[in-house]
Amino acid sequence: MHIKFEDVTYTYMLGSPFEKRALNGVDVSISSGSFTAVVGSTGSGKSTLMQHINGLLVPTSGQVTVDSTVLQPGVKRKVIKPLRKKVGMVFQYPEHQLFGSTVEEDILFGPIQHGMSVERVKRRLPELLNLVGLHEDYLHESPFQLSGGQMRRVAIAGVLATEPEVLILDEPAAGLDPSGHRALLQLFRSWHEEHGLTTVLVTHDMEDAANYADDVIVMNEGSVKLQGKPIDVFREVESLTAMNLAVPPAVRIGMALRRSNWSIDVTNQSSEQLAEQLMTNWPEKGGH
Amino acid sequence: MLQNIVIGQYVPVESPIHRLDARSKILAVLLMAVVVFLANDVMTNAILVTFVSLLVLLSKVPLRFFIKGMLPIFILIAFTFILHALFTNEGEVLFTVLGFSVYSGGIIQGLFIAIRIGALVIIASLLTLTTSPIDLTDGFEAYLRPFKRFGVPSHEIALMMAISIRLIPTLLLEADRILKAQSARGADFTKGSLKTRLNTMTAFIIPLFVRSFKRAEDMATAMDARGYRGGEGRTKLRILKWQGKDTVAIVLIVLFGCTLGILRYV
Amino acid sequence: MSTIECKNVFFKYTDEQDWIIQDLSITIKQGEWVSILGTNGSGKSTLARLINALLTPTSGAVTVAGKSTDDEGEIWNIRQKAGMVFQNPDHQFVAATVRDDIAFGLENAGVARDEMLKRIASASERVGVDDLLFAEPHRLSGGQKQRAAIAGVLALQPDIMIFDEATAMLDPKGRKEVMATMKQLHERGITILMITHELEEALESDRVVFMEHGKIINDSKAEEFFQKPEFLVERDFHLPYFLQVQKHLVENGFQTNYLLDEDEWVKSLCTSNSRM
Repeated sequence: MHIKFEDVTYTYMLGSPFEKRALNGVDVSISSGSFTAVVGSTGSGKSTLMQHINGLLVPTSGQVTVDSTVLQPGVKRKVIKPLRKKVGMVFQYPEHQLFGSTVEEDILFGPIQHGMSVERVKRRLPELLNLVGLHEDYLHESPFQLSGGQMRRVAIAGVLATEPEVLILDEPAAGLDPSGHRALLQLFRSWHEEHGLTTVLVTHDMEDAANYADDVIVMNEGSVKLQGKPIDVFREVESLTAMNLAVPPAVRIGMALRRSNWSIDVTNQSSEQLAEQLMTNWPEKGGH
Repeated sequence: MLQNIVIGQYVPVESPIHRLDARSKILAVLLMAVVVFLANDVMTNAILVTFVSLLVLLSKVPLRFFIKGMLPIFILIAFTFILHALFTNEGEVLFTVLGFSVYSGGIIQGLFIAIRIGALVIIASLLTLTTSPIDLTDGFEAYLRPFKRFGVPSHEIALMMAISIRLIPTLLLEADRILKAQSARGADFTKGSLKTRLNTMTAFIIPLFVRSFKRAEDMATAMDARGYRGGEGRTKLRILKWQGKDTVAIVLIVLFGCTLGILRYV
Repeated sequence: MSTIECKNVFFKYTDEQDWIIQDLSITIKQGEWVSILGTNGSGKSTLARLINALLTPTSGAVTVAGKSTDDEGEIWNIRQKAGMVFQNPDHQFVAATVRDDIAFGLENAGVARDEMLKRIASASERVGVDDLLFAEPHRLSGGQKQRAAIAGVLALQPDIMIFDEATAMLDPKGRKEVMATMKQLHERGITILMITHELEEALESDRVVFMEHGKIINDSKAEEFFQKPEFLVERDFHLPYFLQVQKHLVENGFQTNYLLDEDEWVKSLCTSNSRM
C-alpha cells in the first residue's frame, strides 16, 4: 500500500500554553512494497510521523493518504477503524503490552478486535509461533512466565496475527542483545518478502537501515531532510553528522580508505566484500 | 506531549505567595478555614471577598488558568446558592419560580454561603497553585513530625508522597503508550457492550499494573543500592526556612480574622 | 583502596534452583576497568549484585576492601564504596528533581547539609548535569537521566562503580554520553565494573571477563581477549564491522594481529598503501 504525506503538520497540546510542534510540513511518500527505514535522532519526529499511518495521531494540518484512505484533521472514527486492520504496528518494548492469561489469548486479541475468523487464525498459530522463533507448546502458558526476549516474540506474533498489509516497526529491537537484535530484524525482513508487505522501520541504528532497508528517510527537527537509496543517503556524511547521526561503518571506513588511494567501492558492503577488495589491492602482494 | 503536564496544578511563577514557606501557607489555610465563618453580613462578606481577591492577584497565577481550574467547583457553588435561595423563607417575597417563592432572605443567605465556600476553595487551591508538590510534602512532614512519638511514620509518609508525585508523569506516559499499542491492535475503548468493553479495558489495565509492579521492584532495589534504610540517621537537603515574611503573613491572617470578629460581634 | 575479591562463590535464590553462580573466584584491583560479557542468563547481573551486597553468596565469600558482604554491619559501607547504576533510567530516579535525586544517597548516608551542597555541586559538574539540577525527570533524555544517576552515586565518593547494562535502553547519543562519563571516572582512578553485551563498549575496557552458566570461562586483558574473535563468533556475538574485516584479513594471512581501535587500524592500512 502506498503511503503519502502531504504538508503534514502536527502540534502536541494544541491551543494550550504548552503547545509543541512535532512535525513541520512533511511531504514524503513511501512506495508500496518497499522496506523503508525512517532514521533520525531522538525528538526528530520520526515516531510522531509513523503514528499518523494508522490514525493514532491525526494531522493538525495537511493530509496523509494510505492506499485509498485519506486522513485529514477531523477525520471520522469509522474511517480510521478499518485502517488499523491493514496497518500493524510494533512499538518499542512491545512486551509491555502483553496482558493475556495465555500466549494464545494474547495473540488472538488483535484478530478478535478486528473481527477476523478466530478459528482460521487459531489453526495458523503453531506455525506463526514457530516463525517468530517460539515452540508451539508455549501457546497455553502465561506470557508472564517467559523471558524478556520470548515475551517480545509473543507480542510481535500478536501483531503479525492480524495479517497487516503495512507493518510499522518502531525500534522493535531496542534493548535486545546483539544476536537477538539481528534475529528479530531478519525475521521482519523475511516476513516482508514472503507476504509482500510495505514495511516501515523506525530506528536510530544506521547499520540496521543499511542492512535491511531499500529506502531511507532521514528526519530532523520535524522535517524530512534526506530520502533515497541507503548508499546515496549515507554518502551525505556531513549533513548526517550535523544531525547527530552516525554513518554506517562500511561507508565510514570505505571513505577513509578511498581518501588514501585504496581503490575500493564505497558502498554498504559486507565485511567479507571489503576484505576481498583490500586483499586484491594489497600493496605488498597485489601492487607488485 | 506529556512532558508539559502540570503536576498538582503547581504554577511556577515568582510571587510573594510563592516565596512563603510551605508551613506558613498550610497554617494560613487552616486559619482561613475558621476565619471565613466569621463573615455573616454584607459588610464582613464584602471584606472577605476583597481579601481573597487580593490574595489571588498577589499569587500572580494567570487568571484564565485559575478560573478554568475552578469552573467545576463554581458550578457546585452555584447549585448550593440556588438551593438556599429556593428553600429559605425569610424576608419579603421577591418573585415566584416553578411554584417556589423566592425570598430576599434566601438570596442573601445563599450568597453568603456561596461566598464562604468559594473563599475556602480558592484559598485551598492557592496553596497547591503556589507551592511545588515537593515543598508541600516537606511542609506536611514538618507538621507530622511531632506525632512520630505516637507511631506516625512521618518520614515514610512524606517519601511515599514524594515518589508518587515523581511517578505521575511516568505513569501517564506509560498509559499513553499502552493505550496506543492496544488501539493499534484494534482495541476500541469506546464501543461495544459493557462486557466487551470491560474485556478491552483489561488489555489496558493489566499491562499498566504489571509495569508498575516491575517499576516498584526495580526502584526498591535501586533505593537499597543507594543506601536507603528508613528515616533513622538521615539528613535532609531541603530545609524549610521560616522567615520574617512568614510570620508577617500569619499575623496578617490573624489580624484579618480579628477584624471580621470585631465587626461581627460589636 | 578497595579490592574486590570473590572466593569460591556459589549462589542461588531457592534450594530447588540450579546454581546461578557456581564456584566463581575473581580479584579486581582498584582502578581497573572490567567488562563483564556473557550470554543471557550467564549470571553477570547476579555477580554485580553480589559485589554491591544486594545479594549475599549461598556459599563462599565476597569481600570489598577486606569487608565481607555477609557482615550485616558493613553492608552500608560496602554499598557506599561500590555504587551501582542500573539499566532502566526511569526506575532508579527517586526524587522530583536532579538535585534532590543526587541528594538522596547523601541523605541516606547522613551527610551534613553543607557538605551535601558541595558534593552535589562537584558531582553534577563532573558528569555535566550541573545545568539540569532543577529539571524534573520527565523532561530529561535517557542519557541525562543516567548521568544524573551516576552523579548520585559519585556524590557518595565511591571507589567502585558498577554499571549493570546502563546503556542498553539509551539512544546512540545517550550511549556516547554515558561511555564518555565512564572513561572520565576511570581516569580518576575509580574501578569500573561494566556489564554489557555491546562489544564496542567492551573494547574501551582494560579487562574482559566472560561468563557462561554462572562461571567465568575467560578472564583476560582486553587486547588479548579480542585477538581471538572466534571465541565470540562461536557464541553468536556480532563483531564490530572493522573487526569482522580484520578477521578475514587475519585468516588469509594479510594481517597478523588485530588492532582494536578503528581509527588506528584504518590509519595503518592507509600508511601501508602509501608505500606503494
